[in-house]
Amino acid sequence: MAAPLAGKTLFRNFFALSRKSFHLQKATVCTGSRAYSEGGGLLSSLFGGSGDKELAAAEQEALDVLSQRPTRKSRAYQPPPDLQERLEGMAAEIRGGPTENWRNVSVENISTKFQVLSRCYKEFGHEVPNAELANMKTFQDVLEFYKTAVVDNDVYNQLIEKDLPPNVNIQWDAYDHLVKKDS
Amino acid sequence: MANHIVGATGRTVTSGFLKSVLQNGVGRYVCQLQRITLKFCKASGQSRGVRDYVENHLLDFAAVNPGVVVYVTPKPQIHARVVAEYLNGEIHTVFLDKKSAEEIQQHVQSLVWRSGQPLVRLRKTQHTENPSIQGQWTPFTNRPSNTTAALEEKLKSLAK
Repeated sequence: MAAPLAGKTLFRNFFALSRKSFHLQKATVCTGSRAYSEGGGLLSSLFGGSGDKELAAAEQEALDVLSQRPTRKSRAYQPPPDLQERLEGMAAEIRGGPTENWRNVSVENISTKFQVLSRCYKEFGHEVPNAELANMKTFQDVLEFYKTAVVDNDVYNQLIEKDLPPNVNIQWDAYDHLVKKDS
Repeated sequence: MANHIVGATGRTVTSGFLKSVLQNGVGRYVCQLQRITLKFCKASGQSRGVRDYVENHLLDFAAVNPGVVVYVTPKPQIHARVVAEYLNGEIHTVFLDKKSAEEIQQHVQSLVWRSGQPLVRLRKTQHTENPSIQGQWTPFTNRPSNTTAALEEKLKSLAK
């Protein structure tokens, strides 16, 4: 389900403030981490000693691959107004008919979970990160997750998402190839 | 144009007379600023004000001045600056390191108001295309002609 974004999601988690905070706060904040300010050597500085050249080389390779990818899509998310009705409908489909206890309908079965969460991703455009998958046990959890709005703090994405006037030209990545990658 | 005469003083600050671009503003007003380029570093502390300006004030400025093209080009390790290019080809740079967003707003606005004329010491703070409407005063203006005819003749003969 999250296969195309798996590598990036994993990397992003190193920079997310706190994964538990996704549930606790009403609006969560994604730190926008572009390859520019990350630089190289974060993993090696955290986990590797000075002699760990394999790790540094592997990380450099990963960064090179990442820097070739297109600019990431904004992670901003606002819950739709009819969120609850839609999830009720999904729960009813699984149960075989509308129920009052739709919030308690379990999604722990792997194939059910996959069906439900991939459909949610398609409909709402917001995916459950890999680390949260284990926390999705009932429809109540799914509802809680999709209720929380996400504000994308990556400035560039915010800027290009606004309707730029025709006389503004933002060349945000023009000199990214000059960024020094020192370990 | 600035004064090209080099005198004995060796003074290097150029001077000139007050100028306007084709009397801009008498009829319509044409903004002389063609484009501005904001160059700054995405990561350094000295560019913080510029980054703040780009996030919060730039789009308002661009909406108010649709005739000015705005380029935003971040570059690593660069000193923050705004490069203004005018319709007459003049290029003016203002360094914005360690300036706050409000100061940057003022600098950019002053760039908009400028004509592209070079910044020189003004020898006179006024200029007019029509120094005299009714004719410049001579000693014979407003004097009855019968008393001044002979004097005029004498002056003419002296001038020859």
